[in-house]
Amino acid sequence: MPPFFSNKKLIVLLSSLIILVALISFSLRQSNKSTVPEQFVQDTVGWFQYLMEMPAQYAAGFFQSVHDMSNVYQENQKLKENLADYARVEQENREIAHRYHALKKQMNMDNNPDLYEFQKRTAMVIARSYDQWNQIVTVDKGKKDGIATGMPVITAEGLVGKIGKVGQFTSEVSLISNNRSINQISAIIQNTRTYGMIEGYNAQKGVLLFQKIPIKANVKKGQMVTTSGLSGLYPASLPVGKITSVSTDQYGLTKSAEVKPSVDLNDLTYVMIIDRKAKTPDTGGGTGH
Amino acid sequence: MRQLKLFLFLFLLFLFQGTVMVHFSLNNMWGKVQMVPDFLLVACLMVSFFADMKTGLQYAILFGFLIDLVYTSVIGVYAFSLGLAVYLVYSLSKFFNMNAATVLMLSLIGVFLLQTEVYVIYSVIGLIRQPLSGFLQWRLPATLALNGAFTLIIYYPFRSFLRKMSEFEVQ
Repeated sequence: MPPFFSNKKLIVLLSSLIILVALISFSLRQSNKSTVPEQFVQDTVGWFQYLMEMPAQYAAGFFQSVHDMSNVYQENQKLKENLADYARVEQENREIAHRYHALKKQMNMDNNPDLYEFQKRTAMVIARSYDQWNQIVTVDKGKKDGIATGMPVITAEGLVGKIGKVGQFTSEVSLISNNRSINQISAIIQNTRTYGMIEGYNAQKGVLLFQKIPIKANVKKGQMVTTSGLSGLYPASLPVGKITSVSTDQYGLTKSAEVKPSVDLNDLTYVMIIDRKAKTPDTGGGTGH
Repeated sequence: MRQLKLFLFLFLLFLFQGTVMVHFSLNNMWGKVQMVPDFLLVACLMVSFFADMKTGLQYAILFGFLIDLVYTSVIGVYAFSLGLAVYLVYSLSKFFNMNAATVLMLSLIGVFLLQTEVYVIYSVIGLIRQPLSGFLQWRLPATLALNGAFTLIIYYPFRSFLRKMSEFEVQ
């Protein structure tokens, strides 16, 4: 019976353990800066991934459309109702925008960018880490397209995450469901003045943890949570999700709530990368730019 | 030539795991169940069984590093875990005759080893906060089933390919 580990093999095992620990501490420390060889590998693999993902998305999209066909009628009815309202809303919106800009001009604030103003760049998701522990997707825009580390990423439904490592032609998005990526998103409950912090993700329940809400605040199930625009990273009023349950935190000093993300994080095909116009002073920590 | 084909096949599996499989395994119809493809490990194990242990180990470490670079934020974890899993299962395989049943069993052991190693390392460095019960209940059974099915699908074609490759090298 041959032994599992001879002396020589034990030495190999131990030295590879040492290398492992060194590599882990190296990559944990320089988290979001990627070295040149890393970028090269990421970009090269990204090109092949792009080739493979295109037909896969078409196929997935086809099955989705077949599935959607079953409730086309109800959807059409609903859309017709919404459309009747649309013309009125648009007129109202145009008027308010006009008045807003006029007032801003009067206040001599014409050149100050708003907290919610930003420029969007659309990117296609070309791969995703499959082990579901790392919540990372790769998109097909990189440094060459003006993407930088720390930029927020959204879809039409709401906040998705932020840009992590950036290659020349591809970049990684670490999702809000990634435990490592969350360094506190400053958030606000829509139509109120109630601020709080998004501080973690519960993978079992699929909810974000919305904490440090003032104890006196009137927080209810079903309220919408958006970004506040007060942190250095995210512009204001990007939808984050809906509150599903409210509780008091473990010390009884503040309230905390669970927020169901408004984006289906398991089904991402196209995302928008945001370059915000207003720069707020960096509050220290985080990635800052 | 066959070495090149082998490399291309493994590279395709590597891409396949992160693109096509994701549409399938991240579908909302699975609910809490996590079904993770470890096809590269299964293929590397079969290389070590039917062709050459050294080749299998080399590819495991090489593609482990690629997985680390492309799909994760921490370098080294998958390279180490894949290498160790392939080595341990290969050592175990010396006690068995190779047929479909034993290869299925050994690759399931390999998948179990890999998942456990990565789970332990990620938990220690604080990358994940999955409770052990969740790992055992929602992740392992589905993952083993998926990879077992994959093993049975590629067993006959891949084995004959590898046998021819190793014969070709001997001549």
